Amino acid sequence: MDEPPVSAAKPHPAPEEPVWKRVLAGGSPREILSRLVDGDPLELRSRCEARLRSQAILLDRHRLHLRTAAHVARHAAGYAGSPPIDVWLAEKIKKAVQELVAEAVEFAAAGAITEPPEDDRLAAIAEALGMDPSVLARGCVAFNRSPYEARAAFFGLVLDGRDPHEWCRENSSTSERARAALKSALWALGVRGELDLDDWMRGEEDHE
Amino acid sequence: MSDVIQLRPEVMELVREIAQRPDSVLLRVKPGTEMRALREDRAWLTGAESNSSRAERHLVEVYREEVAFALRQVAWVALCGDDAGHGKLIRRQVASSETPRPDPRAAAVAISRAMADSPEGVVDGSTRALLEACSDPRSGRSANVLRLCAAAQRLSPSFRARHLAAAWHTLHGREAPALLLARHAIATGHDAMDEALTWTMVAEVHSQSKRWDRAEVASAAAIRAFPELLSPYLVQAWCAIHVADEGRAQAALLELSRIVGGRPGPLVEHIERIAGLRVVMRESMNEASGRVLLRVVDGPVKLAGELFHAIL
Repeated sequence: MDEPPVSAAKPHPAPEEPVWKRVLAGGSPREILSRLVDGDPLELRSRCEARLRSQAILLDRHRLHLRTAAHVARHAAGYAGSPPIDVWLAEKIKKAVQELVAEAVEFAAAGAITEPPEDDRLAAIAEALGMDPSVLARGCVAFNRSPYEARAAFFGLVLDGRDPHEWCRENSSTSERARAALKSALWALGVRGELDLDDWMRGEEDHE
Repeated sequence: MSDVIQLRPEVMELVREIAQRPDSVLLRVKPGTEMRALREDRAWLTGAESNSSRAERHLVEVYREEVAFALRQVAWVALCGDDAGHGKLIRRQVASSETPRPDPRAAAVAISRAMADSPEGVVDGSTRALLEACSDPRSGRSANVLRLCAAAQRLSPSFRARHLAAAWHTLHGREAPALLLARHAIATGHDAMDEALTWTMVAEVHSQSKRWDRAEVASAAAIRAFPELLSPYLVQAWCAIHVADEGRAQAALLELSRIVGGRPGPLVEHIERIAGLRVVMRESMNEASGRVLLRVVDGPVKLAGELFHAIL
């Protein structure tokens, strides 16, 4: 087949506009928020999921998605492509995680009445551990303040149901350390040890 | 990651072990009917509100936190410039790093942005008046730390505002409110460092009131939470001097010396602070503690002389 003459060649199509430009450009934060939530064009939901997994944090995924979308919408007007969108969104997710973790701490410290979680995964954790779902929120607060090693062991050995030997090999751990880490995570989730400053200090003095 | 979780036998064994504790909440709900009823409660909750209206509530929270952040920034600037007579803030809490010096211009920018960007209804009238006062350079008055922290707490409760307010009370020798806030701050700290900093504050409050035993307990708690923190070792040493326990004073200073590598550099602020408080510190001592102080200064830990020379 002959090559078409140069003059008849089709022009190169214009490079497609990145999705984020279309989603984030124009409108008030509320309008941008509506675009972000409707259909999740920037895949915030899966990015949030990945963040929770990489940090081994137990939070309501739905709330994290919405809080992240709120941060993205709030700061969309100031974003012009730098840093790269993946990095920029990761910053917003990080901020949203920090805020929700801090809010949960405040909520628990205030003795607020918690509702059962809406996130199916949190409900599944409550079910697997035989916990009343409405007390899980308090457990998650303690869990999220635990060392990473404990949280990672819980994610690997409980949520993912990994084989302990395999998990230890992949995480350069020993079965004793993994057991201790997992026990610490389960303890955080399931034991109500309330700290009272005065009682605690009186107790310490009694030991002397 | 599945939403149905099957526990492996070795995990279940651990769960059962913990569930035996009376204060455990594990294995208290039976799977089946009981759990199904609780899940139905949850199903009733979901779907009652649309996604976009929920998202909008989160947007309001984002604005509220921005304003609260700006108020905390101004409070931090005011606190660092506060000359209260009960010492000064230490920014270098660990040997390797220090909290940046507060930047009044950055705080002013944060306030201006918070005022300009917050939609109607995010802040109430009194908070808006406070923001306006903070952003007015003609007012010439330093901001009131407690008022700023209280306004920030109303918008978005946080460890940080509580800690700043507790620090202000500590610097002004107001023991009861400092301890009350510290109690809540310990419960809401984000990490071991937050916890240790708050215990250190508790130790300092008790030390100001000459309750050496309580100050010692609180500084020990701070060290347990974050062993690299510098201040609690000094409080421990100071408490031990007052109860004439030379050995404990030496041990605390030896540990401090190990952490800073024997160099006084990371302790410059502490040395200045002790120099500033030398009259009060000297007056707090009796004959026995005075003798212990002299022996500690002449003892094997060279840093002791540099730390305490101002009160000799």
